[in-house]
Amino acid sequence: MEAFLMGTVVTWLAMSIRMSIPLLFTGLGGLVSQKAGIYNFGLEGMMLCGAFFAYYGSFRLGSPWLGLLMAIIVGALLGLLLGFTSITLRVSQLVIGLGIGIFGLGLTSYLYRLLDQTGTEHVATLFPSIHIPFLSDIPFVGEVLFSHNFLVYVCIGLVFLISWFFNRTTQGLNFKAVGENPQVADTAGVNVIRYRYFAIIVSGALASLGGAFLTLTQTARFMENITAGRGWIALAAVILGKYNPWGVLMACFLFGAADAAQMQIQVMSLGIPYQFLLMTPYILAMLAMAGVVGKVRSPAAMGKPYVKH
Amino acid sequence: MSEITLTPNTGNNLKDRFFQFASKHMGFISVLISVLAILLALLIGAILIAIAGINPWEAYGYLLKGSFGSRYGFGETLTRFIPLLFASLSFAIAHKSGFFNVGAEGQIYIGAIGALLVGAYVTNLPPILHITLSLLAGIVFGALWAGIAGVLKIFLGSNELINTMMLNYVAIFLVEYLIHGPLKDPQLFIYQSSPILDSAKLPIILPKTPLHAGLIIALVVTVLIFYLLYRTPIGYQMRTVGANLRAAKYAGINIVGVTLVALITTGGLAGLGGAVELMGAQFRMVAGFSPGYGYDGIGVAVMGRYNPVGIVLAAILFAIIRVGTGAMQRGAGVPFPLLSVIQGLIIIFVIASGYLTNKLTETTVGGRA
Repeated sequence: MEAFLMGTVVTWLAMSIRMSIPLLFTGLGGLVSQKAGIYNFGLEGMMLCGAFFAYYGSFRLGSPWLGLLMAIIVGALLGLLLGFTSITLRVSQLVIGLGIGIFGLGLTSYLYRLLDQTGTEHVATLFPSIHIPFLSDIPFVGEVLFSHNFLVYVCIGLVFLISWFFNRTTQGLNFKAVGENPQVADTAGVNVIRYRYFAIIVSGALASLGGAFLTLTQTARFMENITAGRGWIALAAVILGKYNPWGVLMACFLFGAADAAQMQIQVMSLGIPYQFLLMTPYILAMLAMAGVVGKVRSPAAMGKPYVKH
Repeated sequence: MSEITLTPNTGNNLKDRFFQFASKHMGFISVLISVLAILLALLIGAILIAIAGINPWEAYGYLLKGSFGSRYGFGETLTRFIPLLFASLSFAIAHKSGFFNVGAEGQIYIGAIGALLVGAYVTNLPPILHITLSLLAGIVFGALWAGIAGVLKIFLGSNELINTMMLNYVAIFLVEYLIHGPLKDPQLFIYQSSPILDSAKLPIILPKTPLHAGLIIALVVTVLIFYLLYRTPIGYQMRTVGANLRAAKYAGINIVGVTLVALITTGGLAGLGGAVELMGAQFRMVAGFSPGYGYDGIGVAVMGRYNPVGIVLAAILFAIIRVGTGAMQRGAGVPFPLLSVIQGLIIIFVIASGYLTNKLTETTVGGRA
């Protein structure tokens, strides 16, 4: 019994990490754009496109690396679209984001049905888990922390990188100024427009990576609307994480752990209707946001287009 | 200095003349932009159809024939128009009042559940009363569902856009549970709710088509909503809060009260849309009851530029595309999600064109600062 319990906990924790990584990639994407003062409400659509094009690239070109590359390019392009409309044309970032979401859902489902019609089943090549000598062999810890594919470690590395970038580099501090007070940043010689473009393109690529993680490490197949609102949950994680990369990491892990738990409870068949279990990540996201609001302040110039005077 | 400054109103070069002409004919320009947005979206759609190895001309022929090439198709288009109109009114009134309700999809489901409870389980009522009560139940349920996000917004300041989106997922799972469990029709093997009683069904208004009396309700409600928004004090307050929260506070407007009214209206409208769809078209709650009407409503409101005539026209257009895409799928084998591609692109293009309209407004008020 004890061994069984132990096994369950190990599986749950390892699974929690795997479930939180797509949220974390996407959440970091949301964080980067919001730091620069742009809402990215297109995260869901970008994530979905990332999931599809990573899958498509991987099976068509035979390599998950090329799939990953394809996802990054598509994500960056969608970021560029959001950037062009919200930075240069200065129109509603929110509605464009929603438009990208609807477009992304349509495009990926459309292309997927075309593939599906061919009758043959297309399976993407996956990124394998990496066995790290010694570390992976440690009981418990090894299985929870060191049994993953390389993208998991890349994602954690990005948290370090982004945290260092925003707090320790001149460019990172400039970013904060761009999000907080673009007029002052501009006066100080920071090119607000260029910074914002950079942020939103990176944001799109990161969101797309979040989607790519789903198809390139977990499912190997695409399903219509495979992200099922994860882009929005990632956005909630940015708020819950108080616009801090480590906070976002914790928030994403919380949501990932909840998702992993509900999946495990489904398998245990405890008689709880599965629909209630499926609801939990969404309800948790709402509750978590409600718990921190008022204590979190978003960047001051958020959502406001910058007009040079 | 003055000899090199071209003030926009001097009209001494082509660009300025264009702006001068355009700013005098804003209505015409908006229509033109919308038409271009649609054509561009259809063009990209045509490329995707060609990728599928299908002749785009032939496919779009099915779109036209299917949506109003026959009496039945025409009736079907107007039937689809009804929930789209409700969903877009719901999005528009929230937007005008300063918040984003992207939860119409969930509110449609929950509103329909309200109508189902009254329509299927309350018996021995005369039709007029039964229909009225069922519709009211739809409004109340939809408003309550939106109210969850509303309470979080008003009392905690929680982001309503994310919350209304989360509530869509919760609503759909909740409804799925209900039709698998408590509301399942015991006489069926498949997972559907029991049907509503005949006394709660909306009558057909165009024989030999599915078009029902919900059309009249939808049009009357549209007039009422815009009357509320533009001809009543509360509507004025809602628009003030939406346009400039700070000015509204200065003017002493009760922000919480106004936001509450707006919330009840936005949720109630979507809920009513669900109720009408249930009582006029589907009669039972099924999985996939609303194939994204709530999201379509966003596009309709954006394209209709939040005004009544625009919204009605845009809703008709979206209904044509929806019914037409179904016909393209049946006739030419074009996958149905092309619908969302076209709708998403229309939203992006119409919103992006706001750049031009903003420019024109600046020109009218005498150039940019």
